[in-house]
Amino acid sequence: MSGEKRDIDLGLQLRELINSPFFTGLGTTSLTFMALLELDLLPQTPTGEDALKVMGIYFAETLGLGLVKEYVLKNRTIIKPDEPGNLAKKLKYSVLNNPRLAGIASALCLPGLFNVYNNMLMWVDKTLGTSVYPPFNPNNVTTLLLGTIGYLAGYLSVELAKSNELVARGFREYRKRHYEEDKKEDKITNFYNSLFEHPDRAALIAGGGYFLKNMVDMYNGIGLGSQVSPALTAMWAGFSVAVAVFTYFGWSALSWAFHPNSLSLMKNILSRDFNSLFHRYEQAIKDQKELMEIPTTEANEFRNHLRLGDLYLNDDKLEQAVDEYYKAMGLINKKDRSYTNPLDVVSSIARSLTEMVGEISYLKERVVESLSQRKEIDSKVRLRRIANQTRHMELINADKKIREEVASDVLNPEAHLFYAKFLSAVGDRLAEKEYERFISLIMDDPEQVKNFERIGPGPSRREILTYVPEEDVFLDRKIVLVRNQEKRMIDDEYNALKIFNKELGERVAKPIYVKS
Amino acid sequence: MEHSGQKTLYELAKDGRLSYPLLAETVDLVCDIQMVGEKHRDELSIENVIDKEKYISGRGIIWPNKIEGKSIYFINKARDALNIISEHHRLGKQLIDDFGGSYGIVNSLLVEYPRELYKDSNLRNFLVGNYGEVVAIDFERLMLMPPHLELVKVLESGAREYVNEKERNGLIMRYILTMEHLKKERINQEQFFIVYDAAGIHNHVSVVGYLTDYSAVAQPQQRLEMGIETAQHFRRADEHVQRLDQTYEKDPKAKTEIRELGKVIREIERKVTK
Repeated sequence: MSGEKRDIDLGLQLRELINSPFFTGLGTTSLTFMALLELDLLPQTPTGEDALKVMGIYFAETLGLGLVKEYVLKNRTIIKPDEPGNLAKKLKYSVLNNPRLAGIASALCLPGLFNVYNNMLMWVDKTLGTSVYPPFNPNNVTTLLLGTIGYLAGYLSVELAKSNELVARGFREYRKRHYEEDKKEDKITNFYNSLFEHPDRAALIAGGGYFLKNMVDMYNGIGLGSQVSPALTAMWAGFSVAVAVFTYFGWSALSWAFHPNSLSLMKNILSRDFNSLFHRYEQAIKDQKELMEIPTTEANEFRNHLRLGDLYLNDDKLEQAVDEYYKAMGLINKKDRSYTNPLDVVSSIARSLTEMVGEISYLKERVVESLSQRKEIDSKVRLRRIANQTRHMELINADKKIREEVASDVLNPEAHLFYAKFLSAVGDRLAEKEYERFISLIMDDPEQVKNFERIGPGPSRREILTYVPEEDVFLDRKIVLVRNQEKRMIDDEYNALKIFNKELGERVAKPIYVKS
Repeated sequence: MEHSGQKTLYELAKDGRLSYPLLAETVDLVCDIQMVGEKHRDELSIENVIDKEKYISGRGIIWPNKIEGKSIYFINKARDALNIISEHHRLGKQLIDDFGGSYGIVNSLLVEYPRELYKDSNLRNFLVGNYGEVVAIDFERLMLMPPHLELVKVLESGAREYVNEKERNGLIMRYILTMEHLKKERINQEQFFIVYDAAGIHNHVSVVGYLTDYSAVAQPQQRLEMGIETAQHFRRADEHVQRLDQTYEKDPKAKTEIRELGKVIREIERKVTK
């Protein structure tokens, strides 16, 4: 594969287009808009309502492209239950892992729900013989608005629920690790933390309390018309659900501000940015490192490593910078998140808003890069550039670059190893082939053989070796080779490792078996 | 940038760089490996060596593995180690017989405890990755064993003291709590610590056998190091005997057996380290 041309430019370009739904959405909306004008489906002098329709088209097309990007192009971030569960739990996690789909379902449901609500109010008026509640009849514009609000509400509430689930789990893990120090002071801290970690409980208490109070008022004759009726009960129940939902959002918002994790995170972010602004990079690096000690999502961990890499780069510490980029690369394929903090949701929303800015800066970098390609550059700098590609998750581009790198020097084992590591990080099955190419090249080279280190004591029937490259910081050292192994043992161990790798991922090494 | 290469936990322990968090992560990994073993028991080739009818010694000799239907796997295994030691230090038949006789209590504790997946979790079988993550290697032979044997290998293999007793107990508790959480069942903590001591005795005696055999072909410097390591393993085996002795305060029969075993182990130590 090293030398072959497998660039399908059209496919790659299409992928890149879908990778930027904000831009592509604008383009496709313009096309749709023009087509609608051509077909006389839109008037030449559009009204405000037509503008809203176009907005709706943009929204729908961006959403569609976003879905393709999320479900087809990218490895989604998925949280798994921390313990096996029943059907209800599986259902819960399948909702948590698909916030966009939940948003769409909610967008479809909200106008319908308003219809039900409308009918309910009319029913209350009819039952009581009053005209207290004027019916609300949604038109096209309000339906569109309701759909948008419904999408955002569904998407955000699932994201929030996911975040809260992960926060609680992170703290369970923290407590498990620190059970010895679970003293009185910690109990107070734990209580403080738990207040903010359970907006679902707060919502239940608020909604339940509101419902109970109104029921008591109604039965005591203080409430509306001193009447006890199923219609009123249903209405208070509806309002209580609304109170619960608002409490859930409000409480989560409070937790973003007052949860200890968020407070330390904000302090560190501010200090880091302040120090970066005045070129005090050493201090900024320290802040960034402190910030990285706070439990967060894999996605944020990825960005944190990139950020630390950038700070090292600014501080002229190239190798540390590259190492951080490499660590970020290692996190690309991590699908499971074990913990997070409440600020993650805020940052994920902020990220989607700043995505467009990111795209622009990426385009700028590509221009600079294409200019610098005219110069003679050594392999390490090129490799660094490849690592930089991952900064923008531009994996297709990085993949292309690495293939070029490998093709330019097919006998360079390190290029094959780098490519193998890259493929492995992005979850490509071709990684194993590249590992094999790397191994076969170094086993033929007496100079390279000295880079193998034996694990464990001396000569035995079965040797386990690791490969320790001399200097290249990109090349991970976690390469385990096994030689002199019996065939039956290879089969047994290979089968076992398939299971362990599947269940425990990179916490179990995947050895490469070589002949002695 | 420091290029330390990939180290095993054993190498880190030797350099005095094995930290408590790394061990805690290793304990967690052992728990997860055992849970995978439980989940995929039918798909993995796991040997139940304890319940086999025959025991094949390291020297290829076949012994019966059961007496009156009860497995004597750990007695056989320890006797195996003692025979190897005897080849180099002439322990004498009487001492080996005395040892086999007094080892019944260790054997019973280990044989009767529910078993988990065992993959030989000695510190050489864990690498520390570039980002400080612990990675398990070597799944060559999977067996069913009392879980304490895995734990004792993580916490007590190698020549150096890398955790103190309080930390070690903390890590054992971590294992218990994690497994309780994962398996959703209570573990009798007191019993677990008792069996851990039995596993400790068994592990240290077995390692002494292995070291004795290996030191016969080692270089003089290595032989010296192994001699020191052997003495440490005897000392640790004795610590476990002392703890069991205290545990069996109200059981005179068990106490006598344990004291007898302690006496025999000290006698072997005297002969080996003289």
